[in-house]
Amino acid sequence: MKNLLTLKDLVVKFYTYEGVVEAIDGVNLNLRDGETLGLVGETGCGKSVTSLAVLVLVPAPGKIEGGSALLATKKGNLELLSQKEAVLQKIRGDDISMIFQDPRASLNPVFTVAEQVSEVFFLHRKEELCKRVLAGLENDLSKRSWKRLIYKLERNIYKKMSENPNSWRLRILSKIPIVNRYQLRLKKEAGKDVVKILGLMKIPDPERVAEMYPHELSGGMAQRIVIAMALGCNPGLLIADEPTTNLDVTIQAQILALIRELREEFKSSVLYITHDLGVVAELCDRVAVMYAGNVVEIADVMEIYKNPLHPYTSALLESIPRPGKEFKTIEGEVPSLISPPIGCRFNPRCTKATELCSQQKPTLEEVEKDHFVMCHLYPGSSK
Amino acid sequence: MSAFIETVGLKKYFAVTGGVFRRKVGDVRAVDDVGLRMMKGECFGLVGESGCGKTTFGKTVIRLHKPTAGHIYFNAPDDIKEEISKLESSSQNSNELKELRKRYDLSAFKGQRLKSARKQMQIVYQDPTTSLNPRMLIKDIVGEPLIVQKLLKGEERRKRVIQILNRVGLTERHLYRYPHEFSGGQRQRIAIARALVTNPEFVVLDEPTSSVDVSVRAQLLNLFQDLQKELGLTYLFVSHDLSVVECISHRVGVMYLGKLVELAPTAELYREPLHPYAHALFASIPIPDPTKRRRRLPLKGEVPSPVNPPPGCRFNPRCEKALEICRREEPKLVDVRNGHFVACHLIGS
Repeated sequence: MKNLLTLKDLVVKFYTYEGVVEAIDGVNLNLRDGETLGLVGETGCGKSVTSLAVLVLVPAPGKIEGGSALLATKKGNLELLSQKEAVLQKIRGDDISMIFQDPRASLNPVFTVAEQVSEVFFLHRKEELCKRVLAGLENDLSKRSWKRLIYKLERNIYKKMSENPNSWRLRILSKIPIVNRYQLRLKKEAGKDVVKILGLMKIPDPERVAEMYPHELSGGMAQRIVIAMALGCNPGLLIADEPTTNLDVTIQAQILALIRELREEFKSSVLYITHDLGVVAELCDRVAVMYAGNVVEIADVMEIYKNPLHPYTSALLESIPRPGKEFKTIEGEVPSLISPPIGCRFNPRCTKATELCSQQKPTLEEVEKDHFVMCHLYPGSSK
Repeated sequence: MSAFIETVGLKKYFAVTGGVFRRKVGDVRAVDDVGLRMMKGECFGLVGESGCGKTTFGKTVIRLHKPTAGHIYFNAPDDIKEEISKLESSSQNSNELKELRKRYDLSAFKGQRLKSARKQMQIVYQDPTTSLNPRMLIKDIVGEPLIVQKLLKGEERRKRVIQILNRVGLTERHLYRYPHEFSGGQRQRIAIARALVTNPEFVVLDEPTSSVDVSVRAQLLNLFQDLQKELGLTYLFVSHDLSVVECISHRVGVMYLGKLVELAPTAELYREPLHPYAHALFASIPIPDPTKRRRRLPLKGEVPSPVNPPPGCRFNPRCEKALEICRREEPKLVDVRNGHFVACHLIGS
């Protein structure tokens, strides 16, 4: 199967006052076309930073220090990390989009739902909208009306807009009161798309919800709106960063069912970041386990639950509470990434650690078919 | 067996104010007529969605909220409870009733008596980062209940603090540190030490594991179980994490919109939830096993506002099996088989 996204030896460091945090230390990851990859790990293991690096949105004082991120976009392959900001802005929202953890924090409280969701259409689908507006204008012009003069003017403006949406003349026009009323047609046209996509999110009464402000929405509804914003332009890759952590189980079940349905409908690949192993088992095709800035194991979801090879993965799976059994724990704590352990980063907590583990860092190798592990216990990793 | 803690018709309403003069315009019925019994040494799990009143119930039981109505009995003899309910129904001898309630009913306690009763009951909050004062040393945080309750002084207090810190897995070295120097799991341990320092018999655990990671969560759950065995504690474990509750609780109550809808021994409830809401709730837990992946129908809609809950059974607008009677009449919590209580018209009849 074709790879949609390939991360190679990605390194991200944060330059803080306390020292250099090696948040991501050589992550290798590939996401295939049409699959759902679960990225699992504890707090602070670098799951979210990995996803932000894919969008080239790592916040200061963080810096992407090395590696490559190859994305198959709608217009061919692209190396993301070396692109200019203008190119990246075209890609964000169109080819890759992201759902953040807290839906309320991702929505602007002073704009209505329709205004916020339509933004993505203005940014990436302006030409298409212009075409539809022009068609509407032609229709209006064919009727006899005293407004014909205004319509003709508007037609001129929209023709200009469809040629170059960012021209300086339009920018000035949009600032002049009364004259900028020409934008209403564009907004109305985008509004239709908004209602359509809200309907796809199974939001009851989408026309009414589109006119609401974020504070009027419940948590589950707000998350649906955010998903609608993310899927507006039918992106090839959807990154979901713990989208259901703040929601109740029943609402979580609704959102998971929705994501499951939508990925079929939009044919998107999903990078699903979570720490909930239950959600991963329900939703994902493959799983990548992260620990302290490394991807330590990648395998098919069935394989990883049945036959976890890395000691951290098996410890993580055993720490899931199951009735009737004693809770197994992982001794020790996640190491500080300012001074991470030498060699394998899991070695101080690992029960099977050997001399070699505290000296040399293992590499991610294919130990069984489609089952990658980064551990000295398996031959191949200790090259 | 006599109940260690019993609530009878417990209600907690929060006033909603509005208008220029901040007049009361309605009530948020956070806890509405909840009656349950907890046995000594038991871990009672309370589950439900956010906003269903489970935390408010926990806080009301230990009198951090003053209940709007109802009784809370803490280790009170059965005949006294009967006497009170008898006096109440006859609505005479109000002086005698008042006297009895002042002595036995926690909801009527005041002043010094309430304060000394609080020695017996403690709470561990959800987020240890916000429940520990960032400007206090660990020795002061853990020792504070002893000062407030005037229990131990000087060297004795220090010894007790060290003893309890050791018990929760911390050492003497940690005494002179501030909360920010600890990890999330350790902070929660400090909060547990603070709760246990006065030797309480009853501890409310208000989602104590929701802010920590999977591996730390298992450590904390082990600690809770060990402490319970060792000190004979009674827990009220409030959580929305159903898999944790399944592992730690002996009995579980399911709350919906301020009402207790089902109450049963853990294994029985998880195997066969009877109330339609409990059924939907348990069906929506993701199972960490990809071979058991299932296509299920998630519960439709969202929790209605507790300011004006739907008439009749509060679950009826979301219930697929709702009948005519569900919209008119509120179902009572009845015992359907050996300690399995359900409040549903479909199952009662």
